[in-house]
Amino acid sequence: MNRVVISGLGVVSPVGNSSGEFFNNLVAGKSGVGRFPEDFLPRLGIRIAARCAFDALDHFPGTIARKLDRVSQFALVAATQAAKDAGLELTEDEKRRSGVYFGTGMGGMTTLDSAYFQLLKENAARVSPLGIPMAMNNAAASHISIQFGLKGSCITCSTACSSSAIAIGEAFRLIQQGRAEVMFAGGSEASLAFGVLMGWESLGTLAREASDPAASCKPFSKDRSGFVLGEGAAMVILESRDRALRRGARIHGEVIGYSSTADAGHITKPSEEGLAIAMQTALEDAQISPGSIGYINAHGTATLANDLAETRAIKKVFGEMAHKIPVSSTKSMHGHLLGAAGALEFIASVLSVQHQIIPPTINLAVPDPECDLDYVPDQARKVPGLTTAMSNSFAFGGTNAVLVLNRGI
Amino acid sequence: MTTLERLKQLLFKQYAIDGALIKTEAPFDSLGLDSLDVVDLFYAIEKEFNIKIPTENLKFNSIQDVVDLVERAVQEQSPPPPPNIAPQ
Repeated sequence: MNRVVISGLGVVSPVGNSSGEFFNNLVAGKSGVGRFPEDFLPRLGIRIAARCAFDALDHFPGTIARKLDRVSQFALVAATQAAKDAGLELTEDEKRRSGVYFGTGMGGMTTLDSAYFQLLKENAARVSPLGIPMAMNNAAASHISIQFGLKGSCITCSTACSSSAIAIGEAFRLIQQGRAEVMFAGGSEASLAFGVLMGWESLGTLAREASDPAASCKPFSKDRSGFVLGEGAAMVILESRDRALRRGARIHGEVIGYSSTADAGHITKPSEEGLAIAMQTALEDAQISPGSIGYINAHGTATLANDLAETRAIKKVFGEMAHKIPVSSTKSMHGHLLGAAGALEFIASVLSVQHQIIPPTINLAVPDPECDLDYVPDQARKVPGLTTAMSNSFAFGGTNAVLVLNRGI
Repeated sequence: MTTLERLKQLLFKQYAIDGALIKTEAPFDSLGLDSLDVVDLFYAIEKEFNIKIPTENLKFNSIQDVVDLVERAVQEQSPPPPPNIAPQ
């Protein structure tokens, strides 16, 4: 079996549009949450989100940008960054054995939202014929495949908030088993559309706006009120360690374990037992003991259900050691990117191990007796000797994914 | 603005095709549009001219054919003039 390394990173996020800027802002505890200007804002009860500072015309000619939903625009920019970071040059033969595993929860929602608006509100006789190819969930992955000429497996995973973690895990398996040369893996989400925001608001999972909007998302804090919707994309390049060494690529880290499990419980409520099984299975896959984990990037949505279930599940898996392992929720800063969250947080974990700095959980102001782990409140922490991290992704529907990585040296 | 000029504007806006290079007698295919671009263009034409072009009627060879098709549809589908009511 091949060892699988990460040789390229690409990020479009509410706290920076490169992996470096993203991680620096996380370490600085900077939040990307704020009010956002949209015509429909007055009709929403919750008017905050974590938006990307992103103008498509900075990246694409207008004639191309108009054919790409924002979710594909993010994905292409992140994939291009990752390929460049990896110094990727593939022969035609290698392209036939390279592909894209991609995650998105909702696909081209702004395209769909505007088509329905025209149809139902403006009684339009027709909607744009570009609507379907722009909105379909697999559009972004296909655009990556087209741009880079990748003719191997091109699959879009849609498992809500674990989508892109599943994509990275399944791509890891392909490389591990020698069934692919190079994989582009990650995900994108651009769902800050009126209908989607209204849907989440109705579900009661969104954070109330704090007096400082940037402080609205409060994972593991007693005064938590839910998550803040975010948007963006995160892509990694995966290849075998041998291949990366042979071509002298810079290795960001190594994927050493992955689990994909289902709660088989409830459509929205996380199962403490299910989350524990997911973490346990990933440790077994990595063939390491719980004590080897030096950092857990939590799913950490700041909903009561997740905060409690994840905390209890960590205690179940790590036992006595649970209190000694730093656990942080970077969602407190970049918001919840749904289908792109897993890949973005995986990159945060990779960079954390690479730089031996753990980004904090910000806004953790009121300790919750039920949540008594070390959540790295408010200040990033230097951890010399940090080698191994775990990135948790749990989802509506109950599909959990846990990725384990180390420095890869 | 003539129909051709409005068509040229659309072609420039959506596909960055320079209007100065468009010859009306040239084959429509010379624009280099693929099949998705063509349905996208006709959607834009319908909105621009406030007409409906039945997709089964899409038969044209040259760019001039498209201009004729649009002008015919505009003429056929424009609302009838208001009845001339003589003052009492």
